[in-house]
Amino acid sequence: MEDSPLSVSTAVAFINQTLEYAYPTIVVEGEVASFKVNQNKFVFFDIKDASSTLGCFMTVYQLRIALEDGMRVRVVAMPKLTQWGKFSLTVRSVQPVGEGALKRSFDLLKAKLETEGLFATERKRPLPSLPRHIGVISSTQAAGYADFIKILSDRWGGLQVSVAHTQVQGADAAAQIVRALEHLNQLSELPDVIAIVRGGGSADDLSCFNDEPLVRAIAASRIPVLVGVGHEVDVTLADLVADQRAATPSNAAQILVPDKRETIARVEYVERRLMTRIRERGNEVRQQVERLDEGLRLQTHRAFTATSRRLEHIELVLKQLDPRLALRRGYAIARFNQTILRQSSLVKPGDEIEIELQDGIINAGVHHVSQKK
Amino acid sequence: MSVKKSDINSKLNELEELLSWFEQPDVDIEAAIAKFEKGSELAGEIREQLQSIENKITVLEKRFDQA
Repeated sequence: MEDSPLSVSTAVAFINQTLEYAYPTIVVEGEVASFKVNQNKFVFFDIKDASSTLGCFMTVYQLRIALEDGMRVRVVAMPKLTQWGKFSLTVRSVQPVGEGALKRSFDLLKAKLETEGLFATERKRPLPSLPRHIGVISSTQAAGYADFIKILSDRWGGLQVSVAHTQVQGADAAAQIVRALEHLNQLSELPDVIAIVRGGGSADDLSCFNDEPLVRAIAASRIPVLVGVGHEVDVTLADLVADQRAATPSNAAQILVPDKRETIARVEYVERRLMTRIRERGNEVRQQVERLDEGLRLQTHRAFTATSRRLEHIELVLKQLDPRLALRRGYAIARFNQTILRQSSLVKPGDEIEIELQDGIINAGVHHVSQKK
Repeated sequence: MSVKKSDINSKLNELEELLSWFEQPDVDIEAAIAKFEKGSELAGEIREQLQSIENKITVLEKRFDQA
């Protein structure tokens, strides 16, 4: 080996090969120092303890949480000698360690996304009041998923539910959920709403819902997103960015669809109300007809009375004009040739005339005719 | 059964519209009878659909554990 020197590049490659063979992956825990992002693409930081320091490198796309100096983290990495002869860890993933670091990372990312306006109320879209097609992202083995489906089915029927089965905890969960979101957003038959559900768990279990790319994917979804993760007290960044947050998976189902029992009760109320209204209206119309009828009767009666009175009057007048009345009073009617005599000049002596009295008729001869002076 | 939830939704809306129509004063009695019959029919259909239809749950075949 001493007689056949290697080129520098070969030497670097040779050392890297050895390193890869000995340590394909190492997991190192320590404190972050000198954290910086270059060109918004490359992430550099050191990981250190009391006596040693190791340089770390990764891309922005691999960094799914917020980091800062002093934060305790666990990195999953591959040791590597760079072409410049510097030793560093090529990091695949980094996770905060311990409650303090988790909280700090959460707060940092929350503040950053808040500044970008991702959690703003104006961004939130209303969920459809009665969805027909629901996209669900969950693990089909999770208890939260079973609760969600059960409550959904108890409350409403006729729904189309498309379930994207993903991990809902662990290092790969966030990336899987992002892919599921993208897939549901590209279905030929788009869901009306997407629900991301998962039951309760430890802060560590739920940490995938504080993943930056996941939060951004929820914000970018064309379809409104409902997030129902953990218990009521657990608020993740996914909850904050969602169009609506549900306290639990069961609560998510309650938010999505109405309770059919309430709907049936409402339908029955409307039915009763229609019945009452049609009866009321029927009665109103009946009363109206009765009022009209009464008015008509009254008017007819009035007209009848007036006519009767007029008739009585006419009868009276007629009675007074009755010639029999005159005959009873001593007047007589003279007729000549069946015609009532009104002028004396119409007869001459020798003519036969007829004189009607009250009780009989006298046939008489005319002796003399004289005109009144 | 091929009845969609949107059918129930539009039936519910139609029923609520009928109710608003009925709540106005002096509705025409002939029209009211026709609308009442329509309302009863709708209510019956909604009840029956809600009580009988089940949800169709499909787990997508696509896997999300690989990029």
